[in-house]
Amino acid sequence: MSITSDLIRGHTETIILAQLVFKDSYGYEINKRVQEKTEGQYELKEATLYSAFRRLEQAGYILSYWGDETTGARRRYYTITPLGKMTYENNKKDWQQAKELIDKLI
Amino acid sequence: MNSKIRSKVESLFTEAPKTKKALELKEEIIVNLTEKYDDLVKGGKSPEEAYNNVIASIGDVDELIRSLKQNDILSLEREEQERKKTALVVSGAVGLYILSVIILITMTAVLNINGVIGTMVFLLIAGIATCILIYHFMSRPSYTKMDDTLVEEFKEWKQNSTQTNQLRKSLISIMWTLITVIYLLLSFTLNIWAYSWIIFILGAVIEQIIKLLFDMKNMKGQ
Repeated sequence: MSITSDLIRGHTETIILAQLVFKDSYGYEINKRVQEKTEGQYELKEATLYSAFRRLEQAGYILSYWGDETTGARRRYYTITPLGKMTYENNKKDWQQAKELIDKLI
Repeated sequence: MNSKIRSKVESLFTEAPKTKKALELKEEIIVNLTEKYDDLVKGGKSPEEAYNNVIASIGDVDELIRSLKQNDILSLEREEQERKKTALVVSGAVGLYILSVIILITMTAVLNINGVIGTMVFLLIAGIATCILIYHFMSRPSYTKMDDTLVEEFKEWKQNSTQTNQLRKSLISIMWTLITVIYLLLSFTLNIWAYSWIIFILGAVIEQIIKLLFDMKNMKGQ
């Protein structure tokens, strides 16, 4: 699992962007979806997740806003910007190319 | 159990700067972890198991806290710039105050111009200086305070300023007493009641200068 984690870590930001392309979301929901999609094999550490949020926000790829939950604590939602969408598409293309190349090599 | 998660996250954040950003991030993490905890318990885990699971998933927060500190340094630079601008404005205004007195003396004593005109010019220049100061301090952005005020820093500042405030207050009251004494002395001995009231305007200017000197000292001390 540790080798897999290292391989995936470089793509943390793209993974987060991918979850935000379809709808705005918040930290726990994003991580829950990552877990569900990988059938429990992969989960982001909270620290990794929030560091990535800060970096993405500073780069202008995502924006955050506080939800208006009437009951319980307020969640901080993230939304993807057009620039973030563009970056996501580019990263995805890069990954496809890399995957094809590596498949041929190993 | 929610308070246990909260206190755990609080303890992880002891090293973090006490900024609005850091507080928001802390709240965000607590809200998300609590929701995760509730889900795990609903899914059939025991409270202890769920708590351990949640804490284990936090990971290494060092990088996160470092990035918060970097933001803090950026805002310090902004404050530094603001302080330099304030120093410039304050010294300019004090310069104008001094100039106004010099002009008054030159016009009345050296050039023998009518005292009323001299006083008007004097008041005009002093007024301009006051306007500059008021404009600067009112238009100064308060976002740095809202965003990055440290509770400790505030306490420290308050402690320092109460001491200097005492000194400033006593200086000003001594000055006003002296001015009243001089006013009465001059007026009675030289019989210049028509002009001697000007000394009170001078008093107001001196009071402002004393206040400004203390403000400047405060700023340097910060």
